[in-house]
Parts: sequence; structure tokens; C-alpha cells
Amino acid sequence: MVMDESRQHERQRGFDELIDEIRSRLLPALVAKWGIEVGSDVCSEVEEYAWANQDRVLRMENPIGYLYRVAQSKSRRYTRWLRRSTFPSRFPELAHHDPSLHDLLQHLAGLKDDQRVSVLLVHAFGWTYAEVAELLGVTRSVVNHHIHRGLAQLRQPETVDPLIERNRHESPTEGTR
Amino acid sequence: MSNTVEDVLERAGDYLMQRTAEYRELPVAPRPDSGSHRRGPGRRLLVGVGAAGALASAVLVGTFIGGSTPGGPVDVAAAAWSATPAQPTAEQETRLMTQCDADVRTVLDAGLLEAGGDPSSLPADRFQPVLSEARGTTVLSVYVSPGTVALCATFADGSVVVRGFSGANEPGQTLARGLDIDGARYMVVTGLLPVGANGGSVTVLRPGQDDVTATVVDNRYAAWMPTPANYTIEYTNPDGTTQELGPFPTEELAEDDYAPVTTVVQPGPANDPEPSPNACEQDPSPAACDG
Repeated sequence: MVMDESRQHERQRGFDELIDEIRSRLLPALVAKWGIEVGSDVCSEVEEYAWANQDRVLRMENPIGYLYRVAQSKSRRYTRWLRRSTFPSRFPELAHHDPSLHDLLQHLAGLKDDQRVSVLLVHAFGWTYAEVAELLGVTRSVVNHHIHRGLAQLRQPETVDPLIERNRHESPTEGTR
Repeated sequence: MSNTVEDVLERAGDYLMQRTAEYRELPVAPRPDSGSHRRGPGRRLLVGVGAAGALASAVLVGTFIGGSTPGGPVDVAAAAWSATPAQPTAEQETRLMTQCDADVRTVLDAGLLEAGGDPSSLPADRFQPVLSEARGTTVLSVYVSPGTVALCATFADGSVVVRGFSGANEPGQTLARGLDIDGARYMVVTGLLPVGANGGSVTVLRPGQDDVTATVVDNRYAAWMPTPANYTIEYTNPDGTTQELGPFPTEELAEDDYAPVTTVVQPGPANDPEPSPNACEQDPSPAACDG
């Protein structure tokens, strides 16, 4: 009985640490990929998934990388309506308060998802290239490529708003049912 | 304030995590330095305070309405929802104009293209909604172009949802739509009054629940409700006579197709199956979950 309680306690502590890890490490990655609202909501679903599958997830070598891929699956229901990223390109409250930040966030929305995730994780959230590579399941050279291309695009003086860009070049009616 | 890309990216991290903390109603604290990378002072990340309690709340999202559950915008919107609409405030109108415009333009452009029209015929300036209404903290606006209706909902947390539909542009046509947002489902109805109607009111009748007064502007009406239900839509003429415009059964709204209309202008695939996370377990490569 004492052994059972001890195991139970250890398992609970392990799960609490996993939840902390999800919120301190996975959540920023999800926000970088899908924006604040969708990223947060997907994170909540991932937490539920981790709770329901804790025995298995806690045994994994790279649970955050695994849960990041679970998040891809969970995100479908949020993104299937939109043919663009859910990372927002409009931050009107920042326009006067911090125009540089406003413009940068808008330009970030125009990057490819993996470029934006890599750039934000490394330069905004302080991850190493190796940590990003582990999360994305790619090599460090791929992360390096994403960041190099992403930063180069962010430094271009003329970056097109993705909404307007799509509007000009892509018919969103493709796939209409 | 330095404006190199790297410095602004650091501010972006702080800003995104601050906004995320507000959205999730979780505390924010400086992240301890891992030593792996330079970090500016005041770096903010969410911390896992009260993990188990917050997780229990997260499970309730979408089923618990009106309490203090930290949920998404729909929970907040539902808690403040009113069966009687109000005119949006000037501030809400401004947000509406700012935040809806680009996506609404995309949707209406698409509708015009689909109908064989010329998107350049749309106004270059910001679109004006034909109707807008506030229920609590949420503002719904309706935009129309030939062949297309766009709905834009702005929530108190700053998030915006835009959906486009074809149909509901002829007198007497009603469009009822279930919207799946943040795991919660709510319903929007909009349409045009019947031929010959001039004024009057529109009410959504929900057995066992409050009747919902729709907003009517010219001949267009609209309303949104936080919970799908069996309902009928009743139009009341100025002379007091009534005419039913519904009903649309709940069973149809429970699906991701909606009664009684039409073609969705800006959807993804109709029944995009969510891959089972078990597929990831069997093969934890990105392709297993992404494919």
C-alpha cells in the first residue's frame, strides 16, 4: 500500500513537471506557429491528451517533440477554415504604441510556419538551435536554414501583408465545397 | 528603444507571452535563465502554477458557460451574451472596421470570383457592414456583396472570426450556420426579410430557452447564439401578423454542414478527418501526424 502511494505520488509529480514543461516550452512554440488564441487552445487540448495518455507520454524520450506533433493533429479543426496561417497579421493596439513591434509581428505572419517558429523560438524565446531541431524533428542545419531565410525576409524593407498577398495571388475559393 | 530585428524579436516574445497569459488567464513570471542563450531582463513565459487545477478547467472548456472557467473567447462571449442586441459602441465599431476588413475583403473577393464577377468592383476603402450588433462583449457584423455574405465576429480578447457564405441574398432566404470556434459551437442566423416586407421584427424562438431578438437593418436581419438548439425564426410584420422563416433542426447543426443552405465560400475540406494521435504513437515522424 505504501509502495502504491509512493508510485502514485511520483507519477503525479512527473505529470506536474510535464505540464510545466508543456506551458513553459511547448506553448511558446504553439503560439509562434498558430498565434495566441489558436496556439493556446491547441495547448489546452495537448494538456488533456497528455493527461489521458500520461503513462505512455511520461516514458518517452522526447515528450515535448511528440506532443508538438500531436498538436499538429489537434490544430486541424482550427485551421481548416482558413487557407492562411492563423498567426495573426493585425495588431492594431500596437500600431501607435510600438510601431516597430507592430510591423515585425505583421511581417512574421508572412513567414512560412517553420521559419516563424524557428525565428521566434531562437530569437524571442531563447532556445538553442539544437532545442528547436529536437522539437521540429529536423537537423540543426535545417533550423539554421529556416532562421537564415526568416531573418533575411524580416530585414527586407518591403514585406507584404500575407492577407493582401493572398488576396492578390490566390483564389481562396479553391477547394470550395 | 533599439529597433534591430533581434531586439524587436525579443520584445515580440514578451508581447506574445503577455497576451497569451491574458488569454489563458494564467500568471506570467520571468523565465529562469537556462544558460543556453542570452536573455534580456523581464523575459516572460507562462509558468505552470496550479497545473492540475487549470487542467481540470481546460477539460470543461466548451461545456461550462457563464462561470469563471478560463476558456477561450467563446466562453467569455457566451457568459456575457444577451438575447436582446445592442448597438455597438464607437470603440467596438472602430475595432470592427480595423480588424474585420482584410479578411472580409478576402471572402467577398472570393465570392465575386466564384460568381464570375470582378473583385476590382469592390470598394477600395474599408467595407461598411450592412448590419452590426453587440451582445455582451461580442460584436457581429454582416457584410454583403453580390452572391456572398461575410460574417465577422470580434471578441473581447481581440480575436476575430470571419466566415463567408454564398446565399441568403434573396428576399426570404435565411442562412443558419453553426460555427465551431475554440472547441465551442455557436450559431449565427442571417437573411433577408420576405418579399414585400417593410420593417417589422425577427425573433428566433428556442423552445425552453429565451427567445432571441434579431437585429434588423433595412431588410437584413442577423443574430448569434452561444448554443445551437432546435429553433424557428419568426418574422413579425408591422401589422402584427407573423410568418415562420425556419425551422432548422439541431441534428443538422451538429454536423459541420449547416441547414438550410448553400456553399461555403472560404472553407477547407468539408470533412477533414482529424488524424488519430495514435498514428503519431505508431510512427512519431512528422509525416505521421501531418499527413
